[in-house]
Amino acid sequence: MTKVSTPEDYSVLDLSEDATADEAKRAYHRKKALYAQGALATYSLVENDQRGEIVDRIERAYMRISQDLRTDSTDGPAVLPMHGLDQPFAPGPDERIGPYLRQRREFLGFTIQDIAKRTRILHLP
Amino acid sequence: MRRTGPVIWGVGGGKGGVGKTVITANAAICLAQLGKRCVALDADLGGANLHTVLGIPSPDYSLSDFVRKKVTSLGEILAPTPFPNLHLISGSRALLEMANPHYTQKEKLIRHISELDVDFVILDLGSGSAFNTLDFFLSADEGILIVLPEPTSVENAYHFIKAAFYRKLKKASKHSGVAEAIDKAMGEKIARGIQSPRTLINNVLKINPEAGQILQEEANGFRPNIIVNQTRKFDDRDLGQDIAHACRDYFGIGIRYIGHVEEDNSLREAVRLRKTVMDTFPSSPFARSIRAIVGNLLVNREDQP
Repeated sequence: MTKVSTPEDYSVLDLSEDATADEAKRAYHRKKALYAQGALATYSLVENDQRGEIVDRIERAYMRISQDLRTDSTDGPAVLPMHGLDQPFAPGPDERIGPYLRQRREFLGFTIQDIAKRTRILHLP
Repeated sequence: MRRTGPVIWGVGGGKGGVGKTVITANAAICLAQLGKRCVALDADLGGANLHTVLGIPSPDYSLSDFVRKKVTSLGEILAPTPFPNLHLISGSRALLEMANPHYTQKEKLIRHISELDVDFVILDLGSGSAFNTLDFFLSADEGILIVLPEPTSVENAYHFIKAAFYRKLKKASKHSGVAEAIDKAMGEKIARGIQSPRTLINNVLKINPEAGQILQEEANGFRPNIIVNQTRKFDDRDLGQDIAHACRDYFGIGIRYIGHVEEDNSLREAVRLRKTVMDTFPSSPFARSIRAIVGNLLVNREDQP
């Protein structure tokens, strides 16, 4: 089947071309958050009209990549990114655990249903 | 292949008060604790206080003695610290004009730093993006930028990155034809819309491919490291990675995120006691963060002496 995505699409999402559907989804959410209105890392760099163009580019790239990767995403449990750093991920001393976990889940691009699917006990002995 | 002599780390930040001196002092102690012979050099000539953070009084000799030729080598102004393997070159008692040294003084200082007989030299640079600060930053094997998770610090960090990058390109412009190509590309900026280093290089490539190639090679060699200091929340820790992504997307510059430093009370307590965290609270989150960052730099560099 002919691919609709291009190497440029993978570059836009900072993905390797052998990425899984889950990895693509996480990269998409991460990039969208990076260029969201008011995001700390980009608000001073990108003008609003440019921001719109960048988000459109991210959307189109993800649409094409996910079209190519459209499978049921049943390739095992998702793996948390290691970030390349030997530092633990844990809530800060002033953080509440519930909002921290929600933020973490959203950052990784998981829905509640994704979590439920991966943690459901199917067969009890 | 890198030159012989010490590995030099330059710690800068676009903004004052982001923690450059504290991180420099504690990273130097960490290296010394790993058995590396280390010099912490206070290059913040307008407001030197690295000695205070290291818990020692202002040394008798400082960089001003070297610049005024009272001594002939930096080795003569090394001040001992309470930490084995670690010496200080103080910037205190610096002459007012030393905050803005002449080009030849600066070049001489950089040359002598690279000839020190130690494993590592860590430079504590002044705040802001003055040419002298940028030149010390660019002279280091690893440029390290400290940023706080707050808008003004992030803005200044981008300003510093752009300023350092353009300074590096300017140094490359001594090659034949490069300066003219840059001038031409900048002259056409309204028509072509130069907004970032990436756009500039692309435009120079169109005007003069050979000059563009030289600039591209300079750009590829510019890979500063970033540390997010005083993190409190999960989002704060991601800021370094986000800045690295944004720099790559927007400027075409590769930034390496080497870790965050958690805010904790041990730092405040150590400063109050005029002690260092690495020495006084070695198990604190701050000390663990510093060890992780130093470890990342050593692994990334792969040239541990």
